[in-house]
Amino acid sequence: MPGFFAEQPAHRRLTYSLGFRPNMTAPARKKLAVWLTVLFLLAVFMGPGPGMALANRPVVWFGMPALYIWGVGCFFIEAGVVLAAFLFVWRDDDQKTGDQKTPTA
Amino acid sequence: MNMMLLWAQTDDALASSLQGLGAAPYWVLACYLILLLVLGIAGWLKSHRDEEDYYLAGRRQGWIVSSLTIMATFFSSFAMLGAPGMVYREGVVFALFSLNVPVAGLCVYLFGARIWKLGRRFGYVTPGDMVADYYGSRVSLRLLVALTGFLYAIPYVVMQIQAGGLVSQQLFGPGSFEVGAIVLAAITMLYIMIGGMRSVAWTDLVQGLLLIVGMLVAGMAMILVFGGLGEFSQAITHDLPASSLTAPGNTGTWAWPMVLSLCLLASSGSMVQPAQWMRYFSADSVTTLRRGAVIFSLVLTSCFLFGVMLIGLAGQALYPLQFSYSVHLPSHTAKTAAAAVNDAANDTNLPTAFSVQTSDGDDAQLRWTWQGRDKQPFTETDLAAIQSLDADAAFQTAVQTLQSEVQHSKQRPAVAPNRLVDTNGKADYDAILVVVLTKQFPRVLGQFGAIFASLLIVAIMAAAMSTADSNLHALSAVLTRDVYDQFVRPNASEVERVWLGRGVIVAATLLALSIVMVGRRPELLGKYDLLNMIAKMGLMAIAFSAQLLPITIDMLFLRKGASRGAAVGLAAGLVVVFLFGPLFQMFVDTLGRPAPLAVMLDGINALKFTPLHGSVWGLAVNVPLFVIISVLSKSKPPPGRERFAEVLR
Repeated sequence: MPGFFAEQPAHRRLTYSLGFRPNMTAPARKKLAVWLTVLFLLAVFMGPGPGMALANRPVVWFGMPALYIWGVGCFFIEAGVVLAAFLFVWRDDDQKTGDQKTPTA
Repeated sequence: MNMMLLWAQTDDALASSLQGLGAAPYWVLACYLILLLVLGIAGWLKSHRDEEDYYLAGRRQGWIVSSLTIMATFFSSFAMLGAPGMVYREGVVFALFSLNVPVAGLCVYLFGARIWKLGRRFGYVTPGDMVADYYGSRVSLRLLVALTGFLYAIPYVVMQIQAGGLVSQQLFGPGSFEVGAIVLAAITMLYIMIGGMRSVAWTDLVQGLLLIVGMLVAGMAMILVFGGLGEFSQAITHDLPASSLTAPGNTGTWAWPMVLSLCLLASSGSMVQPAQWMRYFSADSVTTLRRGAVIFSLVLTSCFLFGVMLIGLAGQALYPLQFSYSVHLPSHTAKTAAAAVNDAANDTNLPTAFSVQTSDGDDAQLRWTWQGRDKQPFTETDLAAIQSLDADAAFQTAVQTLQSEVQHSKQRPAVAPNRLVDTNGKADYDAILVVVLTKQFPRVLGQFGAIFASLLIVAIMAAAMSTADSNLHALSAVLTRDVYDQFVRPNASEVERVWLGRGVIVAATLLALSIVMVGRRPELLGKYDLLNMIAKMGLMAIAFSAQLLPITIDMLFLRKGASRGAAVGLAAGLVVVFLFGPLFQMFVDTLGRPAPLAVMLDGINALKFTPLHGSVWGLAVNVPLFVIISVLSKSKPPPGRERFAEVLR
């Protein structure tokens, strides 16, 4: 196990240290991808989309305009989704295509 | 906060802003420009002199260089000057535009990884290579994609040169705009010509780091200028008018459909423009793009939200916007009224909010002006004092109309920047960042302020140059490979094509510089937002590049479209963006508003039932045409369908 751990890239070692296990099965990864997509779209819909109406008042939240805080909150959700996708969903399949080249049109 | 306003309003030496900064900006700027040239030469020394190396750095860029060059290409003067300028004009609603960045970050992986695989497999250099190969369209689609690249790149380069002029003007005085613009254009042109993609990427690395640090430092320094987070927050929440704290902003443009369409389409549209496409090709692996996507989403959005956007908001507190209502005063009484108001300048009964603005002709505008949230009520006493100035019936009626406008109008008041920001009187909102950093930072933060300000000046230059270089470099590849190599001299050697690419860089730079200079002519300056506001120019360019989205999505994910549908859809999308955007308005005005075109323009304006980004109008025509013609098309499937499916499986 220590050997396996040492062979992993830095972000994998970090997630293992935090208790996450990113080597999910394909169905589990797909399910997570769907949930993350829904969450991201929801954040976009609620942030710059019609959801902004919920914070569209000239009032102060945490010392700043409500609309600004609303935007910051939506950013945190989007950032969380991107981070989760990076750690658990996106795969390193670089070498699949090889380096062959064929003439272009 | 009153002290802050006092500082701003007693400060009338904007033209000599450098006094507050000492010699620091000169040294920092000089070192920065020399470093760029050194990196250009280093890139040239390391190059292999062939076309793939000149345009794609041998497809060997690692994740740090790739991440930063993608970020630096995305970050332009739009980010450093345009976005704070727009927040200064519109208020907090434009800060929500920052949420387009995570969407763009996702595109780096979702589009970039697939484009990389195909580029590596089939040896593509430009987007036109891939599109033409997939659809088997050697002429129409290749040329249309090249045209889209041109329509995106030139406005973007124009914006960056404008930024160089603007910074120069604020630092060295009103006459130095042209010098700043020319110096920025010349140095950028020089290092791209010397070293190609490698030099562009290396300079982008330095510029990207400068940008990230600069943007975050700008936000933090702004808080320090106010004396702390509490004071900053109090100034923002108490001194800004309600329209600055809510959607749709001060001019009423930024309702949610506009913000949402921008966040979804402007971001993805700017990630399929040729310069970014070539960055995906030049990465050394998918892992590089995957890491780039995360860094892009997290770091860049933070730079916007917690950095430069705060400058725009704080700018409104330091330099309050001017709001006004105006009514027209006919020529026969305009001069008399203006003279009477002038004579009564010291009359304490005359409200200070009232003024008469004479124009080039003999007509005039009666105006009621106030700053920020201090709207002055137009009382009956004010009405009597003003009406006593001139007994003319037209004047009396105009004053009554003005009072009615101020008290009851459902129209939004006109907005203008504070005169301390807008030194040339041409609605220069984009100057807010430079004004704040040159006038406020040194005053409040002393020597540290001068250092912060110098760093930010260089960051602005970096933002402008890193985007200009990427777009000029991509444009040179597009015009050389997609036009010259295909239709003019197909047998040209690689060396000839590289030299032609350098010629394209010179020509495109000169074209962009000419547009900037023409836009500064007195009869155009202040007339069109497009020529005055960096953000407007950027949004128009993105609307053009977004028309590549249907083709990109089809090639990378769906693989259902046909060549003819793609070509017709793209052509129609570009035409609609032109007609629905600010260019057509300028075109019709330039021709003297001939009847058929004026009627067409009115018809188009009537169709815009809600404010939406120009890309939406274009895609509303592009996508249906693409789908319908592809479905109806009886031609054989695109020749690249099977090959692309195999690579992307």
